Amino acid sequence: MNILHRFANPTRFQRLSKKIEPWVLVLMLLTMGSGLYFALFSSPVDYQQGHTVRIMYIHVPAAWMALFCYTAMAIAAAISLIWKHGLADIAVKATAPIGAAFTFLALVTGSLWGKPMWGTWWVWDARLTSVLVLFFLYLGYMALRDAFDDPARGAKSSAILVLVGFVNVPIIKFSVDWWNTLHQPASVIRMDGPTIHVDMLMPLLLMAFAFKFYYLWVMLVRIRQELMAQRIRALKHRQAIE
Amino acid sequence: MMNDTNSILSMTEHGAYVWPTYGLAAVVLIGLVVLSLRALGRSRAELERIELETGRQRDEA
Repeated sequence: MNILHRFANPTRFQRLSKKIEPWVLVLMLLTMGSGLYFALFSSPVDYQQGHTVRIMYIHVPAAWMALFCYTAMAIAAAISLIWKHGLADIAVKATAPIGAAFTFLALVTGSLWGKPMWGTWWVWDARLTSVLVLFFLYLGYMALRDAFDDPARGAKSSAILVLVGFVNVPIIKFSVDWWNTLHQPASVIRMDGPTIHVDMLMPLLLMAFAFKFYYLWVMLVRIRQELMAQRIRALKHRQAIE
Repeated sequence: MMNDTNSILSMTEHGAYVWPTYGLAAVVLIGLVVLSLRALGRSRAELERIELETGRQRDEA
């Protein structure tokens, strides 16, 4: 827990953030650039799906990020509620729009993939429906967070919402096993290893890393911005008193 | 590997699904970066203004 509180100090966090941000940005651009090249030009066409397999290189990493971001939010929300950790609360706020963006991408690109492969844009399938609920949870968090005049009350109630909504993450993950879904079961994160050929697995993993670095970089930028916004509120408050 | 431009764009009639996927991803992800950086810039400018103001008030006091 000591390391947790070491980075509760905004100044220390900002110093660390400034050091790692450039490296994260470079890693993001490298993985994104190479991932897109392999995804669009240098990976094989699927014998069944044809070129639509290229949608996988956006859809799957975006879906992974949708779950990853919400899980990160739940952990940070628990830390902020239990230990009153200010920076953890800011991390939840910074992550929400990023997670919502990836969830939106997963839903729409899944639909773009579903039309040629399943013959429909949307079906009330267990996997698709639970991811749609996840998207509403992200939106609900962001709305609830700003629904109070007192930021502390908004932070607390929205953190509780995140924790309550976390039950949806395992439902999404195991929906393809528990229910009879149109959506295919997992083909990468499986007990006995991926079932995807390496020529397709490589761009998929490159894009997955690219989206992770993207998340880290945008989150750091948003945390710094929120720390400044907090300092502005404090200074304005002090000016009003004096 | 696909080389001529036509087959890249058409992707044997699947291009209508693949290119919007990549286009949408670019719009959403780049859009979020732009919004985040603009918010950071605004906060930085406002913080500098208030800190200047606070410093001036303290000098006058």
